[in-house]
Amino acid sequence: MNLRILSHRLAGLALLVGVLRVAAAPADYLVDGWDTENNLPSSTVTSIAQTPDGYLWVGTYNGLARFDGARFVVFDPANRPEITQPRIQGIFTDARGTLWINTFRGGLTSYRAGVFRNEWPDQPAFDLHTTLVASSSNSVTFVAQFGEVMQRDLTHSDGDWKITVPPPDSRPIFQCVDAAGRLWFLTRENHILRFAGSKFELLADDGGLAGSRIYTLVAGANGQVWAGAENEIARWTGKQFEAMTPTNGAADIQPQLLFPTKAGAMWVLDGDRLRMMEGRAWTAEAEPWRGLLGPASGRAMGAHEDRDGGLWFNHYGNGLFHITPDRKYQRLTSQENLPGDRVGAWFQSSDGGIWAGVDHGGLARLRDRRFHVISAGDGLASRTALSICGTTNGVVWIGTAGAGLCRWEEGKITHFPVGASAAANIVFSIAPRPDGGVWLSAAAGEDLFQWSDGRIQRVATDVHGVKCILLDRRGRMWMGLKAGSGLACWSGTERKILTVSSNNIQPAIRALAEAPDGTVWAGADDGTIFRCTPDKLEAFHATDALADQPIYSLVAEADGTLWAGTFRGGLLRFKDGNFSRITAKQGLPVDVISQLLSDQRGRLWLGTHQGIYCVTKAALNACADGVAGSLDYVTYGRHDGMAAVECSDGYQPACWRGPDGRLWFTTVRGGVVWVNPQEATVKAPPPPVRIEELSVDGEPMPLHAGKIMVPPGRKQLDFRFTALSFEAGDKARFRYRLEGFDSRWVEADTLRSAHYPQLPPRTYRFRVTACNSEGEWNDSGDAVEFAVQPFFYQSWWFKILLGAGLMAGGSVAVRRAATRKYRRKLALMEQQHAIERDRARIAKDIHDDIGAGLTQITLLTELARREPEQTNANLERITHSARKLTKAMDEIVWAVDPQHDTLEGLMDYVSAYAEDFLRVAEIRCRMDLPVDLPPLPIDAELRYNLFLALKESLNNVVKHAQATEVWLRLRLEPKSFTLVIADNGRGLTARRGAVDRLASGSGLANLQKRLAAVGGRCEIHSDGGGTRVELTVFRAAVASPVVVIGGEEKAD
Amino acid sequence: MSISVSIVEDNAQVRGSLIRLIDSSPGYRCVSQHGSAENALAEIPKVRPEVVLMDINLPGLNGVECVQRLKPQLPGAQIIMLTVYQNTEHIFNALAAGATGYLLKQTPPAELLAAIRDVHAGGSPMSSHIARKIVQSFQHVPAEPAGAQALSPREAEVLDLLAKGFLYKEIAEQMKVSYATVHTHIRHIYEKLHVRSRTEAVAKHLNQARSRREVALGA
Repeated sequence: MNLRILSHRLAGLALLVGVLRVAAAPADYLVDGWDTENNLPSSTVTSIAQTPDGYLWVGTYNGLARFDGARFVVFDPANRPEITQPRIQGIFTDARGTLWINTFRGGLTSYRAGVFRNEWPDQPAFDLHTTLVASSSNSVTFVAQFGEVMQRDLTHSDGDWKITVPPPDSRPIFQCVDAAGRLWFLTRENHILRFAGSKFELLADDGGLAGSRIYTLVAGANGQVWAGAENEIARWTGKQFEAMTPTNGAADIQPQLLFPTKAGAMWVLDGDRLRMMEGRAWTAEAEPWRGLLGPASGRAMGAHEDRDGGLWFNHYGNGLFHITPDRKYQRLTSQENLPGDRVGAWFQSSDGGIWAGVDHGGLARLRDRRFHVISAGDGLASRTALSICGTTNGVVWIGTAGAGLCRWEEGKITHFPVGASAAANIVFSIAPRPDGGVWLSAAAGEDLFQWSDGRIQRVATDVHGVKCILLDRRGRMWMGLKAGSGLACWSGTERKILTVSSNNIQPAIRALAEAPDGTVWAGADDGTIFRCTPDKLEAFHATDALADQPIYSLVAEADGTLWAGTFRGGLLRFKDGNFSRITAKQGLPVDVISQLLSDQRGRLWLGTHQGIYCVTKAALNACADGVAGSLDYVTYGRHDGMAAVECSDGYQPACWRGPDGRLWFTTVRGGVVWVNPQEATVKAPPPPVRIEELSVDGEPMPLHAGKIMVPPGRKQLDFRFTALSFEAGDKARFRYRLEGFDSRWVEADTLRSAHYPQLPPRTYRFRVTACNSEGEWNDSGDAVEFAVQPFFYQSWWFKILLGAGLMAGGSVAVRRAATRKYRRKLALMEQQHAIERDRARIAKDIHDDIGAGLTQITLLTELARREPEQTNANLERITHSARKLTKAMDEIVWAVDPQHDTLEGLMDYVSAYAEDFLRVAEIRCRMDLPVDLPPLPIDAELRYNLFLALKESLNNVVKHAQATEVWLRLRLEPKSFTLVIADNGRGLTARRGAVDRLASGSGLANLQKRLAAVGGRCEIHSDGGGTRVELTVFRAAVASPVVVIGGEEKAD
Repeated sequence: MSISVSIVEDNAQVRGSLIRLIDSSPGYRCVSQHGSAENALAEIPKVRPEVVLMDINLPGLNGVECVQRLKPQLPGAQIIMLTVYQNTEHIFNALAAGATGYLLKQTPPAELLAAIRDVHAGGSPMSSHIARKIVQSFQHVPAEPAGAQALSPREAEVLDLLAKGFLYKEIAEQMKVSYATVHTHIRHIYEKLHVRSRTEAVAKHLNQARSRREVALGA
């Protein structure tokens, strides 16, 4: 009842006030575009979605791309077989944040927590579009192209799909989901079909809709269903449709598209009219729409409401339409830099950014323009603006180079030529008078002119070289003049020329400023600053190395601080009689500051040759006071809408702060720009940070599968991280820190990766944070914890043994032979982890072999002395021990010497060893070794392990095989080489003891372990006629993998 | 007539032991001892021993370089290299420079004496891993250095069998020649190797001299 009254009242109101005309307004957006040149895999974007972690996902005709604002990472069948087709038809995020990917031929793939899963296979015969229509925390509902409803219970990860097929021949087209979760369809026969529970049901009598044709069904903000039918707009009451057709318009309507807004209104596309209805009345119409696209325009269109209540239509052929919350109609097409007019997808990301997917145009983002340009395109007759000043009533005066004086008012531009020649039409300086007139310096002589009532006249022929003009609050006019001419001060009829230097060479005055307390300041070309009164100039001069750099711009603050922008001298602060200079040393990006403005939020804006910078005075003061070492600032340039970035210099006023707070700057090639500082620095929170990848020796480690264990001996750790900031794009700045390694944060600037060489074993935490454009850091950032695992010898017990071993290694017998080479080896392998392994191994060998041997010799010598009758036997034993020691040393030295780090070196030693060893055992040693060996580097560890494996194999032969002949062979294969030790002995089956030994694991298992440790394989064959041990090493294991730093993410 | 032996060894203790061993064995006598290659080069040509025991690792000029310079002055002397380590590369270089055999220092005294006698009697010991190196060396220089001779097919065959680990006796049987013939072949192989390495060395020397000259001219 109440509602009806209200709607009647609204209708009445509408009738009274009429329908609001939504008029066209220029679409003042900046459009950023990405296509294949920016590594988007295809320039046809079909769909856009965002996952809760902040990534933007882009479906294209050639794969799915993940976007962080700076980089696209592509997922397609080549690297993710779970995605069955490269052509992505649609992507959706469900209520749980899972991304669903509908591929060509109807396949569905899900993505959650870094894992892709194929959820529904391809249907080979059809090009099936499947759309997510509803989801909850435990289920998802899709509708396929022919009306099949696909439901899936998500409480079981492997739950089955429940597929419900619509009645035969109904060919329903999905329309909407209502508040009760029912799905509404329109059938081929134009009847309403509903799906609830698990079955389809035809709505009897179409719910009472009178129209003979039903165009559309939509669900309003509260889930109430609305119908657009022939000559009728109606809403569902729960039992039937209730007519809601507006009464203040023609009865003949064809509402093809209804679009309910969150505020409760309804936009209606009726033929070629786009109107809004509230209650039963039309209340607004987008007039420029009328007649634009023809009657069937709704077919190729999507409608969306942004979070500010703005309405967007993306049209496949006619670009984007936007009806702003304050009812302005804007259209964006390729004319407005949209990368194309066939806009297939529209999306608003969580930061509020508007995205468009364009057919053959890629991905586009719309940003609010911060810097508004007044240039040639807007009627300014010259691209070069030199001076600017305004009045309190909205008139802005612009001095151009070549087009004279220019008056701008509410977007309207009027030009006033100074003279006939181009040279005469250069306006250097402007000062509007309270009476509506304007003083200006113009023409080749920088002479003084006056504009009044539309006419420009030269005045005061005695004044030349006017570089800057200031009208102070007391009505005095100050003019900074060219070199040698001083400073002019006119007050009423009194005209004074003040001498700025007792010196004959008076510097030019290029900058003037008035402080809120009325103090007038002037800046000279020799770096002097003057406090000016009509009677006296008080000079101040800095004393540092840059003290003589010209003053180009001045801002005088209420607290007495004077800021001076200089030419090649950075920013100068004059406060309490002291000068402080801020330059590149403190991070000031430029040293020529030609324009300087103070905004109402405590910031200085610097117009420079490189663009416009904004920096807080607090930060500047901290630097000037020596409290802080560096500055954070925001840079504005083309990215923000400036047509050209170089600001004009040498004359003042070249920039101006309007009474409304807007800041105006003149540029050399981009006309005039203005910015509202409130808008320009809408504070974005620091961006979320993600560590995307940790790779170890080039191999990515899974980041989300429990604690990360880095195997021992790995050489290089690479981290890749990002900030999910679409606004900052690739300009976001980072710092990182590896806890357990770095003692401080490492400034990465805009670099998105960190690299660490081998780390000692322990647990680490890698942390990254990023900051927003105002230098505000994300407190939490992202972190990943991992442990570098130790080798056995890096454990405490081994370190004790190692110490013992090294002490034993200090004995005289060892020193001479080993230390020298050992040192050389150490130097060679400095910084390499391998050294630790080698060292440990050597120490162990020295300890085990040499140490024990020497001890035994000592004992035997002692025994020989005590048992004279046994002397010979003891001496024999000593000889034996010493010989064994020499042999052991031989092996150690060989193993250590890097000159043997080749396949050749290995084979030389191995063959000599086998020959000697078998000769003593009286077994023939036959060899079949290629004469020429490839120059394959083989590091000490691999070499040593292979040698030990060979030694062990030969030992087995001598002890168990009863062989008379052993063949040592080397087989070279493209990707591996195999050392074969074959004997003609009893074979394994007969060698019971050997079988047991091998089977028990100490023999074969030892060999296998040894080979596995160096990335190889050991096989033993025994076929009655002897035994064949094959030691295979793969070449990949021979050389360390090459880590490409900064390479693209691996595709496979 | 006993075999005259010179000893080049920098370690005085080892040298002393070797001298005692040789002098105390009938049929051998030590005629000179040298602590460095430089000393050996100055003295040995005067002494003219039949066999030289030469340490590979010497301070200053090493054993291989010493052989290279000594052999031309004393073509008749047989040089046996002594080494602590089984370093194929060094051993091969020494053999190529003109040594006839090598012994590991750990070799028992009896074997050491036997080796001296064998070499003196015209024997040419060659183990198979060295044989392989020699095969390599003969294959490796594509353009024969002037004056160097290629191996004859028989020699090549001997070398090949040696590299495969066959004993002299087995090679003799297989090739249907006498044991002494195998030795002769091996002698020849050694000689060709010496010539080869000498001419290579000369060529290298000339090249270096030429490039030095070119550098000088260029400057």
